[in-house]
Amino acid sequence: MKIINRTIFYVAASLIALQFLVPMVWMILSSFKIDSVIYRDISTIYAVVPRFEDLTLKSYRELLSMYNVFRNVLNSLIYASVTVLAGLTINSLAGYALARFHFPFKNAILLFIIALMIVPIEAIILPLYLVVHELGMINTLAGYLIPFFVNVMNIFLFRQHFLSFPGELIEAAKVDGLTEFGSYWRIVVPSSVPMFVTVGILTFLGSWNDFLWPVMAITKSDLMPVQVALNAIFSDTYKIFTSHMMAALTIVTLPIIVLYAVFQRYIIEGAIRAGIK
Amino acid sequence: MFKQYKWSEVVTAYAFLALALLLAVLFIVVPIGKAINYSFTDYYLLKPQEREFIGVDNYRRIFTDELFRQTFFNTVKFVVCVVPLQLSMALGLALIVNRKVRGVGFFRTAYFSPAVLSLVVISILWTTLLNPNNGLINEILMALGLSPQPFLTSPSQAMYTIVVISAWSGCGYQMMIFLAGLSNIETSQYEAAELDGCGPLRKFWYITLPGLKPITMFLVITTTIQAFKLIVQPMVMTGGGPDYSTMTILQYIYEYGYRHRNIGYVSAITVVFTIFLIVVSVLIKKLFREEKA
Amino acid sequence: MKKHLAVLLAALVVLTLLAGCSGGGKNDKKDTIVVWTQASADTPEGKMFADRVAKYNELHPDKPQVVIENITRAGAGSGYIDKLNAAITAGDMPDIFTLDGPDVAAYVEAGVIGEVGPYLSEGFADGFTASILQQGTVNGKLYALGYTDSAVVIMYNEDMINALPEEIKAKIPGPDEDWTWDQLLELARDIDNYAATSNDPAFEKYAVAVSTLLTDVASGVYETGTYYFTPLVWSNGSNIVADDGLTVDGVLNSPETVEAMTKYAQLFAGDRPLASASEPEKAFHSGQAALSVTGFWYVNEFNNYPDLKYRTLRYPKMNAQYDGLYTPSGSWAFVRSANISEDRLPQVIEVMEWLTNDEASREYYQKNGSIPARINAIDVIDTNTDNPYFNEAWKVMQFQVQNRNKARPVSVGYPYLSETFAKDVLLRIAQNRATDEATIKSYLDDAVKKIDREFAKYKKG
Repeated sequence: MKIINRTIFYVAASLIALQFLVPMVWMILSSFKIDSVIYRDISTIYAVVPRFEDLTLKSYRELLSMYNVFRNVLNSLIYASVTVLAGLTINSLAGYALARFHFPFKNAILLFIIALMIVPIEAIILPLYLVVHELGMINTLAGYLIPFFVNVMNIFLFRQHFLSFPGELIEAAKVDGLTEFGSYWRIVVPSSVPMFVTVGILTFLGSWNDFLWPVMAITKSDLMPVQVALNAIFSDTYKIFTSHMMAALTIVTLPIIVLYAVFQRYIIEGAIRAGIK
Repeated sequence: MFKQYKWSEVVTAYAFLALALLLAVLFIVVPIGKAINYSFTDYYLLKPQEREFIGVDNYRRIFTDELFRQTFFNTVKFVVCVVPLQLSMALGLALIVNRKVRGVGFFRTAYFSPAVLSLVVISILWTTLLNPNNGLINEILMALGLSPQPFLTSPSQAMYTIVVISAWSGCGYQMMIFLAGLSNIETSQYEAAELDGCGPLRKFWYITLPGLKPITMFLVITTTIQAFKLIVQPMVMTGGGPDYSTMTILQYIYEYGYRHRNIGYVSAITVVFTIFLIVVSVLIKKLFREEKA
Repeated sequence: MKKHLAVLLAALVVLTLLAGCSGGGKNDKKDTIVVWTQASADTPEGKMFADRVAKYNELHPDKPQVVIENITRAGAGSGYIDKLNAAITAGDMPDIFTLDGPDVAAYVEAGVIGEVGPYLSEGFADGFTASILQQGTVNGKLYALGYTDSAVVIMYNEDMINALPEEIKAKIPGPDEDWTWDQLLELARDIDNYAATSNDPAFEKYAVAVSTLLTDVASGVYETGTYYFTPLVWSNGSNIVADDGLTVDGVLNSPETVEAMTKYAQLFAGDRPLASASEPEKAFHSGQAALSVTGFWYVNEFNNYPDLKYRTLRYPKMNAQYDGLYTPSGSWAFVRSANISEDRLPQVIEVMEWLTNDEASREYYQKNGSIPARINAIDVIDTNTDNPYFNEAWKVMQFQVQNRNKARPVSVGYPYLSETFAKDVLLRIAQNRATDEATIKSYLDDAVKKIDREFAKYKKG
């Protein structure tokens, strides 16, 4: 009975897994073929099962001679890293202040933060564009990056996290002569690394995957992040064939797969934490 | 009255908060203020000097704007279809992988994997897979003896196609959250039920579902709000077509406000849309609470 | 751990500063002249511009260098016009850029492009053909220098036609005969009926009777639709906007326009439509379409399809009795930003002349098959090559350029007008496969309503 149950589980779970994996397998596999082979194989099992004699790097070579995708990948890596570092600093400090200190209007500020959490940011993307426009920061990296440094959700998450931080540790540090910032920096941050990594990874993914804002805020090709560049490549039907497109998608997805493999625990943890709080 | 505060602590606290508050005001509060302000004008971005106050004309126009009405119904159609589909897929997947057997981690990873891909990647990939002339999906359909479908190129199918793709890409994320919820249900409850002779269906109905209720409420709210903000998939896959059948509210804001620079009218839409989303999330919360009582 | 975090924070500060600086310096291209074009970098058109600019830089190493950026035309949000408009709104425009002829008036009205007429060297303007001068002139002032003229014809796949029975073949007019859309529709229907039952190898890849390139409209290049199909309206004695450029009611929804669009709708009617808004990529080039509404640039693209035997026919009329001008014309042209300081203006004008002079015209024809916009360069078209298909195509196009071409309407709201006509009328009919006159009238009425509301902002002043 148990064995039958288990078999049913494995068969069902595998069939479902296929539906999630086949598109991605096809994408990666097709990026190593030429178009005529992709469409020759498309109605056969070889669409998703590799045959080594078909595989080639041709589409990558051709794609990279037409579009400098690595430049866009590098751009996105820089943008995402800056957003993560700035975001972690700004939001964790704010969350820490709200969790630890007593000061006038604390509750008002907390309420303000919670109220802002309800505002759907994408819905106000046009007025945000206008603000950045009026500041003269459209087409500048500052105008593109700074508006998304602050994340009220993350401030709230950090506050919840720091609420449970043992106060005695900080008091002890102060006795040792550390300032408030010093004790935050040397005691609180190092012992909250998992929290920082979790929020950091989510911020990174969000920045890496963002499309709508960079489309509006950046029009210079050499500053384009990957997602916008992908859409531009996708629209260039003159010389871009399926294999080139799949190569581009694979290049862009690769860093994410690596990130996912390394930080899987944190990503899932982050998903749950952002979900339940 | 501020005597109970320590001066140095207050200064430190505000120093820690300053940047976050400044940025939040500048990039969330100010935009909202601007949207409200501009929504009463006929602001055309290229001619700021000709901006005039026109009262509530823009708001009146929303109710006679057929294209807005269509984008609104398109968006509602997407939400009404995708939320139940995606959440039931997520719950189903969570129930399947909520067991301790060898290899279950692989399945969880597999189901979750589309959730880390970007919407642009997903959209481009699926547009290719769903190409009516030579896409993989139609080849599979034909191999199964079914007739090929137009998918994204048909006004009657395009939105449903986007619904399915979105559910496919998003359900792994909610599955993880359901899993966390399932692990919070005490095993002793199931054991007690088993002693009472309850079958798996009754256990599911009387223990699992009620146990998941708070999480489900949360997921319904976030998924609904997320779904109302649909834009990337239609932007990349269909451009809002065919015949505006997949154009969403946010995309209308983008097209008419950003591309055609009609700031005044689109500001009014932005205000209405923002209020609408806030009301929706409050209403759903209420709905769940009443059911509880 | 502490050290790592300190390093991270330092990196953050440096990166933010970098971000601030590299973005902050707005006039960092003072010492270059920036040119934007709508040709994607890898097309022959993009390459011909790049070559031309490279040659200029080589000849003038001492002057500020010209930097060219070729931007793909299609793509939601990232297409050429969207990027250009965004840059203009941000006050970050290139010095010189391309615009499609009919769009020039809108950019003049918005005050973003500057006059070139008075600054050109002696006699330079007189070297352009009359229609190119006309398309670049707004309110009597010359703003835009065209680098190519254009033509649209009908082509057919000779292999497919040869496989047809004689009575269908007889329906094809000669290359020097006028014909009508009724004739074309009848021919296409016959071909399609034959293809449905035939096993002839010529029809092996057949997918659609008529290639219309409406896929361009679906992917955001709206102008292709207006450019290809407004002649149906013209040759039925109507237009899409009145002569004032702002009145659409009674014109875009006139009985003549409705009639022309109802005829157009026949392409998409029935169980087996003759054309499709989602036709395969390069359908005619690759032998998947029997007939094609064909822009002049195809001829150059055919170099990559040596097996294709293409024959050329004139663009058909809607009403056989119509005897005015009606075939598509005009094309993209170079304009300059309105905010160019006086000390840079002479070189900007020099570069614009360099990009559009007689020599450039000849080069563009040779590299991209662009129809010369300069009177002295027209003789570069050689219709006596050893490729009869090529010769025939150019003979028909030359005839149309000289005798039939009509400029698209002048309107300050042209971009919106054209987008709405292409998307809300042409593409909508094709995708919904609407056929009855009432539905099509309602589409046109809807478009009129939308355009009227949008044009209110031009009527304000």
